[in-house]
Amino acid sequence: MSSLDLWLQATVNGIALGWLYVLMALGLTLILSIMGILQLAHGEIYMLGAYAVHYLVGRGLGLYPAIATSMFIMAVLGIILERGLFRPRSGREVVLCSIVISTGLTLILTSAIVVIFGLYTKSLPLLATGSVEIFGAAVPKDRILAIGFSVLALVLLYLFLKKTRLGLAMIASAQNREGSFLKGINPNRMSMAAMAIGCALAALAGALAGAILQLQPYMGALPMIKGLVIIVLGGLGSIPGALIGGLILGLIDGIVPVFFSPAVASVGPLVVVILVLLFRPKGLLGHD
Amino acid sequence: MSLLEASQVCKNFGGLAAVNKVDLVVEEGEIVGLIGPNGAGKSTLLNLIDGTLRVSSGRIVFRGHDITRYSPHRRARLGIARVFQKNALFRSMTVLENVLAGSYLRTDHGPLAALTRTLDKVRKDPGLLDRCHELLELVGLTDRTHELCVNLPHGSQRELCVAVALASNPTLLLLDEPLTGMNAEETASMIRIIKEINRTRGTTVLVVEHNVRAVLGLCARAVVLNYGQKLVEGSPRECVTDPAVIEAYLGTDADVA
Amino acid sequence: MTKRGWTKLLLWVGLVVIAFALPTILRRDPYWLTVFCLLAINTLLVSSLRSVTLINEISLGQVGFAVIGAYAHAALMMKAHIPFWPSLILSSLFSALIALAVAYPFLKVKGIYFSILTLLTAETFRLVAYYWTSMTGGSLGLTGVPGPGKQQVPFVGEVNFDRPANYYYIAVGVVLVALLILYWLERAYISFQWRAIRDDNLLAGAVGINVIGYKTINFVIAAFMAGLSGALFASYQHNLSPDTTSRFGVSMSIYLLVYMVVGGKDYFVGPLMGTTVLMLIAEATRSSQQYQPMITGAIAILVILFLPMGLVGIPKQVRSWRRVKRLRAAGVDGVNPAGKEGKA
Ligand SMILES: Nc1ncnc2c1ncn2[C@@H]1O[C@H](COP(=O)(O)OP(=O)(O)OP(=O)(O)O)[C@@H](O)[C@H]1O
Ligand SMILES: [Mg+2]
Repeated sequence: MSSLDLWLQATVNGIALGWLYVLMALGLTLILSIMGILQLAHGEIYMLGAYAVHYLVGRGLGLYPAIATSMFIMAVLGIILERGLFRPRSGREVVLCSIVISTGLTLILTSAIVVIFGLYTKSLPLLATGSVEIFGAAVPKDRILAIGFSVLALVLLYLFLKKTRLGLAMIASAQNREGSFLKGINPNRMSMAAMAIGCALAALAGALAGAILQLQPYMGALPMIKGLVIIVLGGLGSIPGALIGGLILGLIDGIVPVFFSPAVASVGPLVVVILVLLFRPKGLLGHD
Repeated sequence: MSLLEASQVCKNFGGLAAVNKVDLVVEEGEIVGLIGPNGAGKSTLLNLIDGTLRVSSGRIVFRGHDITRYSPHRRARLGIARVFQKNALFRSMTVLENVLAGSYLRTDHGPLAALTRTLDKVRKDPGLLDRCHELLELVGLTDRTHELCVNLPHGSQRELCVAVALASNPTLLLLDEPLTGMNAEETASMIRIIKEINRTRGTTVLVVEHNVRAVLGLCARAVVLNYGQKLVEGSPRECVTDPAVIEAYLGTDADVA
Repeated sequence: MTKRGWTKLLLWVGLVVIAFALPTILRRDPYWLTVFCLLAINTLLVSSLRSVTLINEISLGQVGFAVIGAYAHAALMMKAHIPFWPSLILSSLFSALIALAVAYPFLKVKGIYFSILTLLTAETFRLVAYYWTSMTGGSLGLTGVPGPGKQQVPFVGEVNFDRPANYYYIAVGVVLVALLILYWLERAYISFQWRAIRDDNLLAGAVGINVIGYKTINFVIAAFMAGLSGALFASYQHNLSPDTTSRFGVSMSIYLLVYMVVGGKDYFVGPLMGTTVLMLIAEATRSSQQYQPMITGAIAILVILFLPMGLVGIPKQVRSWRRVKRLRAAGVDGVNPAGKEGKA
């Protein structure tokens, strides 16, 4: 393979991965900025989303309807979790509570999947077969489709947030919870919406990842961490920030291991985050 | 040389210039009033002076040191103390413990000593305790020494804030609206306290206050901020009768009537 | 000393006596000794996590510092042939040094940001261990990490501390000393500065406390303790694996937090209590191992929802419930049952 070929493939892989991270980060940033909580089980929602698709496909549903159904189920699950577990209780340390509850959830959900589906990896049908030529290099079609779906989800989310009443209320609530409460926005409804959307996005990311790669009960931990790191990188609550952060991380993951050792690649995100925080404590696109 | 010289200080929040090219000079031993309508940038200016925020541009000199880039604790070391607009107290501590924590600079012998000395020993240091009780007497909280600070009524919490700030024996005391939410009696006593520390300890005071009568009674000099800029400076009476100031306040604040 | 102080001291002494008597009691059952050995090592790790809560931060990165301690200890002993004790100290110091290096950017941010950063750190260190094959054995793991070996003990003679039953004494002894140091710190003047920072970091800075400096001291000490527990673990297990599901994966960070909260994070014995109870439950449910994480997770959620002060805090919790009930009966409404009064 020519070096250009290698570069291009690594870049496409990086971008595809990066977009999945972006989807995770978008959900997490919505949840974090609107609810003020750290939802560490977000990776398990991603994993559940992928397994739900696996189950539904096994029951004879087509891949795309299965993905849509899985997103819907996860959105409902998100609402249930918000109402039942994450809604802040008075007089508690909100962040600590959310971390503990979500860690508990992580344990429960992963082991439930292990019990039901076993530890072995599973796979989903491919999104598409074959590859297209870009600049003379063969790029698998499924990567391109995964990128396409992620972009579509992002655009829809953006339109929703900027053009609908609910979306605008969510933005207001994320920027200033008390202020928007005084203006008659119900914070609990905003939290429910944030969890529903966040979980649906995670399910989509999980399903796409499952189709590109494989399913495995512990598959959620890494994207969850990446999503959180993207938030720190890009700035809390910023959609363009999540985009840039996601692409940076995706490219580090996709390209660096090809040309340097994977050990270097694994230190990359930490170094980048530290550098960004030193010079821009609120993230690349965050503001104080 | 003046005690504090702030020249051309600016602070921007995104696009908003919360403090815009303000020059402020405070002489040793003065009580200076800082007034202006809500959102004028008074608290932000205090934040810039005590280091809670860094200036976007400009220079701040205190006792001959350029403190523009100093962190808050280094400024405190030089003698700047601060009472925040909200009742900022060490919430888990009693009244006495708050003042003890405020006395940190008088008990600090470096991190190694902090690691090796027990807290009980510091707590039982008679010299330190005497000073703390003196301060509590000054602000009139002697009978509530061992109560949790969060259980005090608002007025007393405000007084405790002042005691905590005074515990480091500052040269310059920054007070952010010390009188808000106080009844007439508490207001009078707070004014007496401020005057007394200025007289007996020679503490210089820079006070933000909306209560015009109090400013008139306390300060020899006042500075008016509006939209982050200095509007007028002079004797308090000149300030509050200045047409530009009246216009700035009209429709925003009724205090000046 | 107060009466309560004496009771506490007595309980501690009792605990230490039992800890050192266990090998004799469990002579027939060496398996349980290895469980208790691990329990001691875990308690230290959880205590290091609790120590960071003193500055009002939740570190999800203690496992990362344990990874560093473990691999540094292994490398020092296996590659540099440094004896057990100096290696134990050096590897913990190394872990503390790494913490010092990253402390500034980490401690400038607060709350959720700090937790995220520490989580990333833990995962990064694990991945480095995973990929740096020449040093760590990579994904296959590192085997043959030596223990303390044969050592002369006064009055006893030569003892082979590589035997689990004997290594137990070393692990428990080191952990006890480490816990004593942590306990001392909570009684030292520095704890007052930490508390001030925890209560209100702006005010703490305004009264002259070097907020970042004191936070750094806390973070570095906690990293030292985590590194120490990692090093102890390396010599206990003799092989190290950086797998996701291993002791050094993200899930371990999660377990640590659960141990702490279930025990009671406001109490010094909280980590010991939480680790003991949950590890014993795990042992008791060994037959249905798949369900273990589910049980632990459910316990974590139930405890944080209904017993926010943890198991050690139950008496206080009950008292506060009673008080609320009394107040309700007296017609005072709107009281908060979980309301936390400041620490006594
Ligand atoms: N941290 C911040 N981030 C963004 N904007 C801020 C911040 N702090 C203050 N501001 C803005 O700067 C302006 C000045 O605020 P400041 O608190 O200094 O006003 P003030 O004169 O103290 O008013 P008040 O009398 O209400 O206390 C306001 O418009 C405020 O919204
Ligand atoms: Mg103000």
